[in-house]
Amino acid sequence: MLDINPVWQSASALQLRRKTLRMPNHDRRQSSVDSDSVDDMVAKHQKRAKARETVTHLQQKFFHLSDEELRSGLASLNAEEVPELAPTIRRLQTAASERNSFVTMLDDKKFDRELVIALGKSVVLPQSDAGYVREKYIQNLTTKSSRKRARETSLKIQKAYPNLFALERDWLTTLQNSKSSGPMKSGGASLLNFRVLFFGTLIAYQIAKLFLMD
Amino acid sequence: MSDPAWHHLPHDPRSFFDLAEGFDRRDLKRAYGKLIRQFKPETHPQEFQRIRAAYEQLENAERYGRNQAESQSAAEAWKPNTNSQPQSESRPSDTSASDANQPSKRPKPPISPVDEAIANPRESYTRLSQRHSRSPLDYYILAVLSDLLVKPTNESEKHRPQFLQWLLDGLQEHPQEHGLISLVAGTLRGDVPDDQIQTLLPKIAKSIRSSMFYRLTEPLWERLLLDQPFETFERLIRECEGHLRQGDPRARLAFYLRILRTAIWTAPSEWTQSQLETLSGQAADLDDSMQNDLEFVELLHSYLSSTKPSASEFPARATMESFLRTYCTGDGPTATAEMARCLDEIARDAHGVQESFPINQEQDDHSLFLLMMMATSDLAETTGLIAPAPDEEKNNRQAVSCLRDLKNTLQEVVHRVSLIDTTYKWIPFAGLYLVFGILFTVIWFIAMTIVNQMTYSSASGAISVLIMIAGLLSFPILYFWWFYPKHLAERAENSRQKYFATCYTKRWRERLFRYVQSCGESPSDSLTRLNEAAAFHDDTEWMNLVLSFCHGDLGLLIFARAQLFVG
Repeated sequence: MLDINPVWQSASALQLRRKTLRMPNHDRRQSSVDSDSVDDMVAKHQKRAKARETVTHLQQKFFHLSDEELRSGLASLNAEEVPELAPTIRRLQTAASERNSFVTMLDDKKFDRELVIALGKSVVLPQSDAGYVREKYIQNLTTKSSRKRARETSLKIQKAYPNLFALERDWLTTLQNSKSSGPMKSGGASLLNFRVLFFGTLIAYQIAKLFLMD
Repeated sequence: MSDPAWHHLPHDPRSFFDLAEGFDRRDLKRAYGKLIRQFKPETHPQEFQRIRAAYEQLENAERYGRNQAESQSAAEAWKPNTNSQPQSESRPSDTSASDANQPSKRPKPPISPVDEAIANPRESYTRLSQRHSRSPLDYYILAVLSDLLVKPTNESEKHRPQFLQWLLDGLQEHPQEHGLISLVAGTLRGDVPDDQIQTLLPKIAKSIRSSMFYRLTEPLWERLLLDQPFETFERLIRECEGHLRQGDPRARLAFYLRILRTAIWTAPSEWTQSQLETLSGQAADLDDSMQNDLEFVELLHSYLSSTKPSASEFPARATMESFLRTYCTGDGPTATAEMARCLDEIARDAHGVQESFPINQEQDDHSLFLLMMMATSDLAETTGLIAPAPDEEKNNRQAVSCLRDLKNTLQEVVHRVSLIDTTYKWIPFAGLYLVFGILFTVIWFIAMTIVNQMTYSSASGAISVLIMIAGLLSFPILYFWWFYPKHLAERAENSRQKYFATCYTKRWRERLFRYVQSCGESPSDSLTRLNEAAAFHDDTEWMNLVLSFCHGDLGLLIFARAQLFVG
């Protein structure tokens, strides 16, 4: 410790002192640099790199992995070691615990198959990719019946699989609103309403005239 | 990308970061961010560690205005000097005896104080502690040896106060000594248990009465603020400042500027206000990045003092506040995880953000928006916590899809705008023209009758017809040149804007939130992409209208920024 020049390496000197005297580091705002030795740092960063790789692998192959592979992959992830990935890890853990629910939903004819597939992708993929999947699904809701089916499926998911619903609450809530789900419609609707009114009035007038003549 | 100049570390971090002489902390952050993107901790842990250490060293020094040249010369003072006082003083009798016994041999090279301390720790400790004047190295040796030789009492098993005491004594004798400053700062940062902070701070204030006190004790004050009621902090700081001499005001400013970020969450508003007024009064002494910090704290104070909707009413707003609080008061992996959680929550809650930031609301959310932007920029720069670059092609497809959706509403918008024009322009015109026409005709008829009774000529008939025509023509001219611009144009414009705002809120906004969510890039990038797509499809004019609302929609901008941090 005496060989260290404190002008530049005071942190190393103090770290060595703590290690030798087995004293805790009370610095809550410590950066990881000061908290560990170089070896610890290297080990920690290797773990982080590995965790990132595992997360990417799980996101890409989530539905292709066996239960055992998925379980061991998730078990190897420690959210505390990769704080920036903690929300993603938690999300994957929830999705993994509900993975069989997707199979059940796909077997059930009452659920919209496309929505279940999109939901499966959306809960595991990175945010921007998931956004793309969600938007693609919404763009395909071109008919009233498809929007109705999406709405019903969303409501069923909310009721039967609340944990899954919580992961995609925002999107599934959008689907429950038939007006906002689906591609945006042109302004022809109001014109159509006018035409319906006009011709409706005309027909009603003709019918009324027939009755009056009688 | 070229390799950084590693040979400048650790002695010259400024050259390492390639910073100009008069750099500020923003330049430093930028240079640091650039390097950590190249040397990510996952792939280059050791390089990252060295870069981070150099950054922290410069950042701290820059805030408290340290002179780099001074530290350079200070480093020289710690180099083992074999001709220095301790060697010349050390046992002259031995040397003379040795010379007498072996006159032909070369004199033994004098051993350094460090070697001597290692060889005879107890003897060195006693000898150095008895001296009246000591070098910085002597104090360092004494501090290190005290750990070895001074037995801790039971209660201070894990805390050895003698180590710190020697360093503080050293600083009293050598107040500007950088090695000792670094050691004391590091010890106070990491080796003081929570329960000893309150007793230690006044002791340090009595020992170090210069403005250096602020720099050294800053982490202790922050811990105190997090753990104890604000009143304890206030009482202690008053007590400690009573011991300090008037010194460099900049150090006090830097201290309060940093402390306010933690204190502001628990301090009474009046206390914060008075500190901010003091800081603003001395703003001339602050450099650019300190001005930036001051602006941040002022915005935070303005936000916290304003009347805010309840957290239960708008959970997304509460998450933003929680993010800001963690950003101000936390650090390290736990704080990073919490900030990542908050941003993830915001990025996935489009409806929540829309509800928290209604369009055309009375409340001014600019301070919250600016705080979120400043904090997330800083987070991205200093932690590299940012999602990978998005797929350009995919985002272009998203922009076209969004444009198509927005354009589908255009027909209805045009129809409604023409209806507004009709309501405010043509219907009043027709109505007023009718009234004017009737009145004018009646008056004209009466006037003509009177004129005809008095005198009749063919010329007067022609004149009366001309008056009639002129009167009927003058009304439209008067209406469009004077009446409409003065009385109705503004109302028509307000009504149009109101309709556009309704249109944005009810139809475009949700689609735009979905668009930025699927892009995962900065707000300006995603909106520029949309604008480019519109320009390509020759829809610039009405897209400018949509974008003008987007740029004013603070919720959308915060939401888009949060997407950058979600993996």
